Amino acid sequence: MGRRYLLTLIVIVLIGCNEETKEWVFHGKIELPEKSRPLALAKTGEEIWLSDPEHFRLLKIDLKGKVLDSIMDLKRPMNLDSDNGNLYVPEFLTDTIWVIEKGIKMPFSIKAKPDAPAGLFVKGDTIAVADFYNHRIILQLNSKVYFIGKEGHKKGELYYPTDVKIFDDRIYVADAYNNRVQIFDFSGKVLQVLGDQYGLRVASAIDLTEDYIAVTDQENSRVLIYHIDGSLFQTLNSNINYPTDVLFDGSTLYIANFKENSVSIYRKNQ
Amino acid sequence: MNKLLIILFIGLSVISGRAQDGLIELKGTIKIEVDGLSCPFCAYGLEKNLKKLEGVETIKIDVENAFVLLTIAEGKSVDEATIRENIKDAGFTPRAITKDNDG
Repeated sequence: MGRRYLLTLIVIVLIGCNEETKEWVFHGKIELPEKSRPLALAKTGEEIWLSDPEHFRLLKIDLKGKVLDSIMDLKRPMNLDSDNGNLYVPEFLTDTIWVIEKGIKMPFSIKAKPDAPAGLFVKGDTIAVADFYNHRIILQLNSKVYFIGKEGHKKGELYYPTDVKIFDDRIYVADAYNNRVQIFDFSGKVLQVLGDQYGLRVASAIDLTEDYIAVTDQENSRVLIYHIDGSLFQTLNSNINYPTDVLFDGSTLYIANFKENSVSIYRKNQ
Repeated sequence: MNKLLIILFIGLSVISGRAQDGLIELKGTIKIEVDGLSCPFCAYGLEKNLKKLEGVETIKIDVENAFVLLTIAEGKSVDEATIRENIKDAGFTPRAITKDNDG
C-alpha cells in the first residue's frame, strides 16, 4: 500500500515538473488566403510581413490573416528581416537584396555578392547574409566585409546556410543541411553548436530573445526552443506543418507552416 | 551494296555512341522527376541552377509533387546528360526525364 502511494506521488511530481517546463503553449493559427505558402516572417509595427516565394510575392497581414498589402514580382523572396520599420528581402534567384521603405522597393547594396541569398540580418550598419550556394555568411560591419565559414561538415564549416541572426555580439547561423545551428563570434570562431544531439533535420531558420533561441526542425515538423545558454528547453510539435521560419514577438512565437496556408501561434505561459 | 552497308554501319555506330554518351537531345517541354525536391530552399536553388542552361526558356518547379517542367526555346535543344549533370551539381538525384505531353 505504502509502495503504491509512493509510486503515485512520484508520478504526480514528474507530471508536475513536466508541465512546469512546457512554457510555450499552442494558442491558435492565423489562416492565410488559400494557396499561400508562407516561407518567412517579419514584423514591422503591428502587422506581419510574410514571404511567399511559391507565388513570387510578399504579403502584409493583420493578426487575423487579412491581407493589408502585397508586393509582387519578386524572384523567390526568402527569409526576411526588419529594422527600424524597414523590411529587408533577399531575392534568391537574382542575388539581390531589396529594402522596402515606406512601401517603396529599392535595391539594398552590400559590398559582397551572394549566390542565392537565403536569409539576412540588418541592424543599422551591421548586416549579415546567409550566402546559400557559397556556404558562408557575409558579414558587413561599418562597410567592411568579412566572411564566416566555408563549405563542409566540420565544426565552423557550413553546408547551405539559410538564416542568420546577431544578438549580443554573437552570430547565430542556421546551418541548414548540417542540421545544426552554429554560434560564432565576430572573428569567426565557433562558440557553440546546437542541434547535433536532438535529431534535427534541416535547421532552416532561427530567432532569438534575451532568454530563448527558436530553431525550425523543418523535415520533422518541429520547433526546438533552447535556453539562451544552449540547453534544450522545449520541443514544439503540435499544429506545426513543415516550419520554415520562426518569429518571436514578446511572449508570442509565430511559426510559418510552409506546407499549408497558415501561421501557428504559440504563447508563453506566464 | 557494300557502300550502303558501310554507310548504315557508320550511321548506327554514331547513333549508338551518342546514346552511350547520354547525348540525347531534348526539345519542347520536358518533365524531370527529382528526389528531395520538397524543401523550398533546395527547389528554388535547383531552379536557379537550371536557369543557367542555354536554351532553357521557362522552368516550373512543383515542390509538392517533386518534379520540374523545363521548356526548351523553339529551335534549340539541350542534351539530357547536361541536364542530369546540372541537377547533380545542385545536390539532387534526377530520376525519369520524359517528354511532357501536357506542356
